[in-house]
Amino acid sequence: MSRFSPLAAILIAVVIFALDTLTSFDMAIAVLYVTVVLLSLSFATRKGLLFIGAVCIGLTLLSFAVSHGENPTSDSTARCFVSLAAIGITTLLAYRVKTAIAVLGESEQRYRTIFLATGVAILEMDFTAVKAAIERLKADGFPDMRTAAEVNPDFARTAIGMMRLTNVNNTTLTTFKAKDLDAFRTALPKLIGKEMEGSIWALLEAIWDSNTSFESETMMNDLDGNRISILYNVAMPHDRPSLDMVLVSIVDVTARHEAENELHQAHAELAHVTRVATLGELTVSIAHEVNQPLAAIVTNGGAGLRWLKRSEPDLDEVETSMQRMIADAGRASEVIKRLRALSSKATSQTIPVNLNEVIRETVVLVQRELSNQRIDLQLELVADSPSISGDPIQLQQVIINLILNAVQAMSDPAIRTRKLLVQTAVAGGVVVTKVRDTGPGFAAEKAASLFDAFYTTKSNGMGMGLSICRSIVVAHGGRINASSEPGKGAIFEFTIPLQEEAVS
Amino acid sequence: MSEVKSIAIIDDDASVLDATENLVRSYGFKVSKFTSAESYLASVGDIEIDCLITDVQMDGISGVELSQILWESGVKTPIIFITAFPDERIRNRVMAAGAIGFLGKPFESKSLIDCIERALTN
Repeated sequence: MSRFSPLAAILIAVVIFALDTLTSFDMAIAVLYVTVVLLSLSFATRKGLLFIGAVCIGLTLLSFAVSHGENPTSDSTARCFVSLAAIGITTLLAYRVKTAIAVLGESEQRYRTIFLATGVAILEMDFTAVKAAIERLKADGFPDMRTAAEVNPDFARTAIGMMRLTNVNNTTLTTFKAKDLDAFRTALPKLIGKEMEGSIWALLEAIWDSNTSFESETMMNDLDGNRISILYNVAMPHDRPSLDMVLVSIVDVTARHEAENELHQAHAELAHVTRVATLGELTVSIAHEVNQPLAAIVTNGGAGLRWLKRSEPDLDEVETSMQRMIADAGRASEVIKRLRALSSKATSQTIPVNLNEVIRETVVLVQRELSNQRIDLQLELVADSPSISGDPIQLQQVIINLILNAVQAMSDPAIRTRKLLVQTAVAGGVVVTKVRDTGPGFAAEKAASLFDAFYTTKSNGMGMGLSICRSIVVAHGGRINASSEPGKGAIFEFTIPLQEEAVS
Repeated sequence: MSEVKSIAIIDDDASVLDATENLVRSYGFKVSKFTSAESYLASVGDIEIDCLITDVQMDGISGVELSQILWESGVKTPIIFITAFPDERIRNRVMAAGAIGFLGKPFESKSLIDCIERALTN
C-alpha cells in the first residue's frame, strides 16, 4: 500500500492541476490538494511534507496565473486564497502529526533498546489476578494485609502462582541462566524460594496499599540452582490500576553482597580482636598492679596466723601483720579506683539524651541484620520523648547489644515467628526500655548469671556484652534485668532515671 | 634446729618484701631484706645466707640473671623464685638449673615454708 502512495499522490496532484487549470468551475478545486498532503503523511519525512505542501501551493498559484492571470476576478482570487489557506493549514497539521509520531517512535525505540540491552533484568508482568484476589480479601473485611496474612498464611505462595509473565529481556535470561522465555516462565515459581516469601508479603502489602512502586532486597535461585542476591523494583503505574502491566526490574547484587559481607565480617573480627587485645592489656596491667598487694595480703595473713600459733603467741607481730594486710588491701582498691577513673575519663560524657532518638538511630544501624534474618521489628516508643542525662554512645551500645542478642536468639531456622519489640515507657520517675524477642528464651535459674562477665552461650562470644550493658546501666543510675517464658522468648528491660531525678 | 638459719629475700616491691620477711621470720628464721639484686650481690660474703628467696621481674638485674651469676661463680646457696608472672618456660629453665622452687604470687604460705625446709635439708 505504502509503496503506491507516492505514485497515487503524484497522479492525484496531476489530475487536480489539470482540472484546476483547464476547467473553470465555480469552485476551489485546488482545495483537493489537501488529499495529496494527507496521502504523503504515510511516506514523506517531515521536511518532505513541507516540500510537498509548498509544491501544492506552487501548483495552485501556477494554475491561477495560467487561467486567470490576465484578468483575475474577485471570485477567482478568493477561491485561490481559500485553497492556499486549506493547503497551508493541512500541511502544518500534517507536519505536527508527523513530529508527534516521530517522538513516539523514538521513545518506543529508546524503551526497546533499554528493555533489551540494559544490564538490568526487566520482567513485564500481569498482576491482574493478584490485584483481584487482594480486592476480594478487602471485600471480606480484612483491615490490612497483615491481618489477612494471619488467616491465610499460604496467600503469598498462591499469589506467586497468580503472577503472569508477559515478556522478559535478554539480561533476565542470562541472569537466571534460562534458555528462553518459556523455560524462564515455567521455572519462575520455583526460583522464588522460601527466603523470598517475606519480601513477597511486603510486595503484597504495597499492592494492598495501592503504592506505585516497591523495592526490596532478597535472595532468589537461578535455573542452575545457585542462590543469587537481588535488588528488585516493581513499578505499578497509576494509570493501570488493574495492574495488567507491571514492570519488575532486577539487579544481581550477589558480588556486591559478598564483598559487603566480607567487609562486615572483617570489621566484626577486627572489633573482636581489638576488644580482646584491650582486655589482654588490661589483664596484664591488673595482674601487675593488683597482684602485688594481693600477694602481700596473703603472705601477711599466713605470717599473722603463724605468730598466733607459736607456743608463745606474739600479739605485737600479729597486730603488725594485720595492719599491713589492711594497708595492702587499701593499695589494691586504690589501683582499681585509678583504673576506673581512667576508663570513665576516656569514654564517658554526660549530656541530656533523648532515649527514643537513640533507639531510632540504633535501629537504622541494625536494620540490615533484622532484614537478613526476616525479623519483624515493632517500635512502641512513648509519645513524650523522655529526656535523661547520660552518655548517648554508651546507651546506644546497650541497645545494640540487646537487639543483637535478640537477633541471635531468633536465628534458629526452626523459629518461624520472629518478632522484635522495642518499647519505651515512663513510670515512677524512670524510663523503662524493653526489648522482647520470640526466641527460645532461657531457664529461670539462668536469669541471674546472664549479666556476669565471661558468661556466654555463644561459641565465639566473650561473654562481655550483657555484663557491659549492666555496667553502663548501673553507671547511669538504673537497673537491668531479664525474664523469660521458656519457649516463648525473652524480655530484657532496663530503667534510667528521668533527667530531673538524675540531677537532684 | 640447733642454730638459727639465715634467709635472704630480694623484692623490689616494698610491701611484698615486708610481708615475705614477716612470714619467714614468724617461722623463726633470721631474715635479711634487699630491694634489688645489685644490693644483694654487694653484700655477698659479708653475711652467711642459707637460702635465697628472690623475685623474678625486677629493674636492673632480674632474679633469673642473678641466679646465673651466682651459680656461674660457684655460689651454692639454694634459690626460691617468686613471681607475679609465672611463665612455664622460665620455670622449666630455672628448675632444670637447680632452683628449689618457683612460686606464682600470691602463693600459699605453706608452699614457701616447704620450699625453705627442702632447701635447708639438702
